[in-house]
Amino acid sequence: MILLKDMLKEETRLHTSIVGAFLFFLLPFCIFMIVFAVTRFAPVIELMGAGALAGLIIHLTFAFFGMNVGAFGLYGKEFMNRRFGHASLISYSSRTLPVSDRTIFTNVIIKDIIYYFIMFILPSVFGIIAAARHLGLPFSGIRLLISLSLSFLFGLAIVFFLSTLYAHSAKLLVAFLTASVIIFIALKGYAWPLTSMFPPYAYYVYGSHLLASAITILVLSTISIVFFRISYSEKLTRFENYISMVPPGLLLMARDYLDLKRSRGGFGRIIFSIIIPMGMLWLFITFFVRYVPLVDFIIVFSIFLGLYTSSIYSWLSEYDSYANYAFLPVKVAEIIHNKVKSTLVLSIVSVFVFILAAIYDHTNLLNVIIGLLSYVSMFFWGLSATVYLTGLSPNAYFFDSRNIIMYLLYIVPPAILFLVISATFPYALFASPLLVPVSILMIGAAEKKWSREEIRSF
Amino acid sequence: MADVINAKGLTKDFSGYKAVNDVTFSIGSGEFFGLLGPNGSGKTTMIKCMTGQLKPSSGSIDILGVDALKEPIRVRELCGIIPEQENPPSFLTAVEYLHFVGKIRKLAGIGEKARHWLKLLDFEPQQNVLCKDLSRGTRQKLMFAQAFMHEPSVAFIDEPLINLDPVAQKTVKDFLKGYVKKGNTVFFSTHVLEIAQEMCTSIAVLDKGRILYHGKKKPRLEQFFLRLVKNDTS
Repeated sequence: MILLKDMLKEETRLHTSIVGAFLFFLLPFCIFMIVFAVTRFAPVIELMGAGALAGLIIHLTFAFFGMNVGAFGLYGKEFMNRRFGHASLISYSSRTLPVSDRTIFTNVIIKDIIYYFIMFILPSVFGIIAAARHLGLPFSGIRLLISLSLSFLFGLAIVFFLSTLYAHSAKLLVAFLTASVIIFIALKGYAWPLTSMFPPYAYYVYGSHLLASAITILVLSTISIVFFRISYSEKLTRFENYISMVPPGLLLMARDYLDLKRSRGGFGRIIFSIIIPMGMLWLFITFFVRYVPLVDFIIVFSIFLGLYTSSIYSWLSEYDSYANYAFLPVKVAEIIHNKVKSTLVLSIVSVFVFILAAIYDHTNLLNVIIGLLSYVSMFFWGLSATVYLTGLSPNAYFFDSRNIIMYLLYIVPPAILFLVISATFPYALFASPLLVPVSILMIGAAEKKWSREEIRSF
Repeated sequence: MADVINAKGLTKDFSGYKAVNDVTFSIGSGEFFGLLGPNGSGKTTMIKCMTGQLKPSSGSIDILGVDALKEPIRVRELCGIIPEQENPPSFLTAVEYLHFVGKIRKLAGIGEKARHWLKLLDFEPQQNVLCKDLSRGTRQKLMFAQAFMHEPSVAFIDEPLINLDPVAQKTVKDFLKGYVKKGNTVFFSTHVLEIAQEMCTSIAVLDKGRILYHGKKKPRLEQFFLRLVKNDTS
């Protein structure tokens, strides 16, 4: 309990020291307001014929959020130590405190979950309930609070479990996923009602499956904690000198690449931050378009895919500390520029996902082109907003409520516009690449902006 | 002796706490200048301000005729810097890090320079080991090498000897003595008074962000330092 209390105190101090106490504690209120405002768009969904889907979309969104933050299994990988650079956190001191790694790890997870609940989940749920009351939509407050919380924990527990498998062996994860897909197909799982695969939603719809939800979450989390693996390398591996072969223009990108390759957990991050969430996004949108025949799967998918892919910049920046460069003659603009280039290279993964989705969906060529253009436009737009608002420290500056609001003001209007156009006159999306030059200008402005700032290393 | 480092009214304020408070001094070429002070006296903040890593709240800094506030990158091009805390990047090997810094500094003959430093500081056998797996002392050697491989005429070094074994300490001290003899300048921050006594030609004593003394090194430095700091009631 003492450990957990101190970790919560530490986390609060870490963030308040970066963005200030007022802006940090304002964040849940902003989340409440934002979710309230977004939920007020529910009539738009109804107009599109998705009224009955509103509850499902909201539950899937919470599960998706849980999946995004649930890769706790990777915490044992040493590359996580650099998340906050030189900030010496309690969670990194298992070698000096008389407490086991597992105890510290369990406390870190509980602390993170409490934080997510206070900062994001509860304000979001209250925002939805307030908007629903305002709109006269049939949401039941308490049940919604429980079902959405369970949805978040459900998504989190699944990814927690998968990331723990990965921490033991990538092959184990692949074997598990392959076996799951085979069993799913053999049992014709795709024909099952969604409520049987997603128990928290079943609880929301029917008031059933509460125990099933809780047991699934507890079992997956317990297995993950029991099999949690600390994998600090004790081998003294030697490597060839790759840097001597790299042309100067690619130097900083090469460092990003070597970091990812040699940290062993880096590519796990690609799996859990790109591939699995994109797979989920694919699944969600498949359900969505099933109920909204007006919209085309590949176009809607590409809009969200573009936005999601832009978040690669955030986690790529997370594992590098400006402190490594502060005493060298390197401009901040140059570091940002190279992080953007590394993001562009990694975004190729999303293009492959896009191509796979297009093939799977038997999309016609015209829609593939429209989808690709929408993907590129939203990717650049989301990327430029992130770079402009958070510079080299997205992980720290996204806890500033002003930045969250500004970010949403940047991305929500074009995203909604794209969705509406995709349902009404998709050919207009041929004009979407107009966002690309604007985004490039904004990235240039961001490089100038952050060059003027005093960059803090965390 | 021409001044190569000039600071005037240098102040760094962290939300009301003055880590460096209205500091003015100058250092000539060929000086081995020691900045002494107890823990938390503001030594590291001062070095960070002087090398453009932190923006001072007020005051001016001139290094080799370059305004450090307006051209911090130029200052870092001209100077060698060993930060107190920073480690080389975890997932580059020792020799890769020297090549990395050499390329950032656009040096010619990087391979040769890297070999020279690996040999001088005796860590050739570890050259292909990842920095995260190096001992603290070897990492310190690497940071020392990166600071001097472009042969700067001014070096800012923050506690550079603290993790080194006696053999490496001697090599580094000999190198620094020779470096200063050639007319180069060292700005050396430490709280180890024996090292300052042995190496420095001039010193400044910093406490609570203010300079209590700046001038020639005193013969009995430890007593002088303790008296000065204990009597500082500000």
